[in-house]
Amino acid sequence: MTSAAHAHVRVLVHEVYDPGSLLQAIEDYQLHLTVSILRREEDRTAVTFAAPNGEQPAEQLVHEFLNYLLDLSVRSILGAA
Amino acid sequence: MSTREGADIDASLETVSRTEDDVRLLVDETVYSREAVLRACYWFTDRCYLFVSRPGPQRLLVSIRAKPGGPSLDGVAGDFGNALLDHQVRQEIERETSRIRELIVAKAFAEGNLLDDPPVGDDRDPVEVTRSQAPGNIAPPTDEPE
Repeated sequence: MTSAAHAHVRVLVHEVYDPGSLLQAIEDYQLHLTVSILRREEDRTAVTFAAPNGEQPAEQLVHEFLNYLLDLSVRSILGAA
Repeated sequence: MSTREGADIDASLETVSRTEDDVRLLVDETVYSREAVLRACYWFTDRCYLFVSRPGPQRLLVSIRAKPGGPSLDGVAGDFGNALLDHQVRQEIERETSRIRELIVAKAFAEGNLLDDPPVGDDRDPVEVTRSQAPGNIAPPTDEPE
C-alpha cells in the first residue's frame, strides 16, 4: 500500500515510456499538471505529479497524462502503430 | 487469460489482481513480445487508462483502469487479451512471410519495368545505328509507340 505522499509517484521504464516523449508530454500538460522528475536512471525515470497550485492532482488527470505519454511513446518507439 | 484461482494457469497472460477500479495483467514476454504489448496498449488508450511497468525480467505488468462512462472493466480487459493475441499473431505471420512478400513486390515492379532506371547510354547494335543514319537509308522500325 502506498502512502498518500507517494500516491502519485510513477516509475516509467524507458523501453515502454520514451524519455523524449516524456519531456514532450510534460510540456504539453504543463498548464494542467506539474510533473517533476524525481530521479532518472539508465533504464527508468521516476516522476511525481502535482496540481499547478501544488496540491494533489486529480487522479483522472494523472491517468490522462499517462495515456497521452503512452501514445507518444509507442509512436516514437514503433513508428505509427 | 487466466486467474490465480485457475487450476491450470496459462502463465503467458495472467490476471494478478482485480479490484473495483483496475485489472492488472502479467504478460510473459517469451510469449507476447513487447512490441505486441505496446501496439495493443496504443489501440486501447481511447477506451481505458493503461499503465505498463516491468516487475521482473521477461515480464510486463499492464494495469487497466476503466474510464468514467467508458466500457466495463472486465469487457475491456478481455478485449485487451484478444488484441494482444491478435497483434502477436500478426507479428509472427509478418515475420514468417516477409521474404515471400519482398519477392512478390520485386516481381510486380520488375514486370511493370518500374524497378530500375533505364540503362545508361545506348544498348542498340552500333552497326545497325550507323547503317540507319547513313544518307538514303530508312531507319528500321522500332517497337516503341509514336
